[in-house]
Amino acid sequence: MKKKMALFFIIISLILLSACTAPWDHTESEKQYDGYIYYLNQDRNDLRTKGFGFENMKGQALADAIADKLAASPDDAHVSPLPDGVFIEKVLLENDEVKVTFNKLFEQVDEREKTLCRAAVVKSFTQIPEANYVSFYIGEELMEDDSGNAYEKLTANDYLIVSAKDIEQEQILTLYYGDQEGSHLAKESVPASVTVDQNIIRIIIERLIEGPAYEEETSLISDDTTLLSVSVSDDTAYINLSGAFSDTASTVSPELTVYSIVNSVLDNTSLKKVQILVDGEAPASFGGQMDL
Amino acid sequence: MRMWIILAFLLVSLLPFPFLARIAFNAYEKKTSDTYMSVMQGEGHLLADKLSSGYFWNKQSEEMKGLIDQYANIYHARTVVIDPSLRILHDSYGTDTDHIMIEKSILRALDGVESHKYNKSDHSVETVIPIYGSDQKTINAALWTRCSVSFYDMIQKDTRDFIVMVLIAVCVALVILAYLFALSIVHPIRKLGRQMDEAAHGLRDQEIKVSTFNETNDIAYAFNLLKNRYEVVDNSRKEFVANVSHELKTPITSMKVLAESLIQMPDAPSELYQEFMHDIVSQLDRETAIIDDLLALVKLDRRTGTLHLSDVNINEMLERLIKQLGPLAHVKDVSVTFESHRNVTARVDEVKLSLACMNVIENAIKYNRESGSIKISLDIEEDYCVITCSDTGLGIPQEDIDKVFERFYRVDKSHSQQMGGSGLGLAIVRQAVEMQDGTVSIDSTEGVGTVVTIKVPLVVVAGSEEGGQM
Repeated sequence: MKKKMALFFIIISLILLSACTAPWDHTESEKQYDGYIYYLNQDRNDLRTKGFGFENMKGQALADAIADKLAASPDDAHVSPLPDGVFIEKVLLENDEVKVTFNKLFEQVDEREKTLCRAAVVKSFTQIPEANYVSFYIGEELMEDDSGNAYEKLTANDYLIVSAKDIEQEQILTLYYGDQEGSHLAKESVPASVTVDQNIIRIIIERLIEGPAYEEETSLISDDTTLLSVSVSDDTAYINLSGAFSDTASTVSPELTVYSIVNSVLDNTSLKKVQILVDGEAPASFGGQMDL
Repeated sequence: MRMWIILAFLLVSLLPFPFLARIAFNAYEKKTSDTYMSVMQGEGHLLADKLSSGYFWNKQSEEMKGLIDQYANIYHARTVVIDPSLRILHDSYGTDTDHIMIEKSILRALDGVESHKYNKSDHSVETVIPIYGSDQKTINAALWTRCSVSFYDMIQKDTRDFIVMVLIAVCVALVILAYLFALSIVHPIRKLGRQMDEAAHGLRDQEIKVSTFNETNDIAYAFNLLKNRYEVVDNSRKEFVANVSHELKTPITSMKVLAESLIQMPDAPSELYQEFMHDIVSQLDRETAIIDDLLALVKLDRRTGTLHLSDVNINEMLERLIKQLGPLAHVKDVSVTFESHRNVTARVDEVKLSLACMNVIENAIKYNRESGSIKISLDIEEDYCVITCSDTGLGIPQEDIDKVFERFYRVDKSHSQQMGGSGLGLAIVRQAVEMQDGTVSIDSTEGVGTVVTIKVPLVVVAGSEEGGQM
């Protein structure tokens, strides 16, 4: 009788413990694919991704494979972004540029459909590791918009697909750290996954504070610094750092630190000015605004 | 027992906590997200209305950008204005201006449908509102806002920590309460146990009493009943032994007196010796009768006695008894009539039943008047065989009627020697009859007579469970 009760209690405790997992935890599991093809949703008003494996394909072969995938609709929820009657005549991978040629029927397509189609195509082809740009052709000529601007050298960054946030959209950030001696800036291309919510400026500053991945480079901002807030107004970024920022090591020239922040921010955004604040106030020793 | 009560108490009281906590958090999240969402909706509309007025609707307008940035900063939201060709006119993050933005809620807003949603996965609130031109019909752009409710996460974290602390405090309090609760239950039970123990060891004379709970009260009450029954039994045993000793001694004392008298008179004539010897012999007979009756009584004890059932013709049995007692009746000139209403055959223990009837009839004769009468009748009532014996004797006083069945009880104690017998007669009758699931009852009026009624089932079933008394 006593043993049964003990067993009963143990079981109940276990049940309790499992229910005790914090109600605020959300764990998600994601499967990693080599790349993603962008399709339209069933209502044709949004883009959806479907993962695929490269299977050792590279270069032109990979480009051709992607073109084939784009032409098909794998299931009801993933519809080919190519409008009816439109097909890809040719795909050419030249260095880091993918030249995509559509047939003439594309010109008659509704503007919105064209935009969605281009977005899907650009996002899909830039999955090829060496491809950074996509250019659109109709026949032998570059596709143009109403104002005469050519759809040339479009990048993945040109298209912000909100609903694809759950796959991490990798961006390459250009960050400026200190070199080994701490006397010059060292430029680095850092991959970062940025979701729609995240303020890229925040990520840039946080990466700068964290320090470089390479040992030859140095961090110009002390580790204790925290980013209090970021706001943007009039093409100016206002970056508010905590007081620890003033305690940067004396070996580092304060000017260099400022340059690293300013250059990193301006290189990755379309802003024009950066104002650094320490604990909400403009610091005298670092001077005021700086621009490139 | 204490441990189990504590554990059970804790289990029951803590069991709902994780579920309650989860429910509380979900409710909190919903509340804050709903609040936030309605704020964003309201403010979003205000902004969209402002932007739709001609003054602000200038794509290069610094005031427009300023307005949007201000809004974004106040609400920690990313605010984007998208034109009908999905191009971003202004992005409060400053990072995606001029890029193409694609989301179905944006496309729908550009068609005039506004939407608001809360993303549970990343705790963000998103609103998309169309911006109309000054004619209130054409849609110039869509206003997209998304803000992460992450600082609500922080609040949640603080609340979470607070709740955890409260939980811990409550847990501690509960453990203490559980312990006290267990104590309050176990203590009276232990007290009861102790008192019972004392009583069982004879260290306690009064009744036990633990009136904390009805249950303990009931147990104490039942225990006291048992104790009293035991005491009654004990006492009756003592009394029985005392009575037996007394009854057995009486003839012996008489005999001793007689014998000693003879010793005192060495020259007594042989007639005197003869007379005294007769007396001694009759005392011995009496002693034997007493001892025989005692033995019979033991055999009639339900626990040690066994029933030997057989089909008995009751009429014949009674007639035989009457014949046997004929001489005794003749001595007192008592007339005996037997009235048989029908022929009764019953499955009973013949020996015991005839012993009972014999005792009853004998009493009727013994306690009768000179030239009195006895009527014995036999009948059937429902499933019972009914034998009644009524006499015209001394009768029994009302207050003694119940007691006459007790061993050695005599109504008139002073005449016990004259009456003879052992005083066990009715006790034997009762045992013998009750052993067969029957009943015996007496009705009597002093100076008039007595009626003794014996009822016995027509078919006695052997092995009934009730224990007899000693």
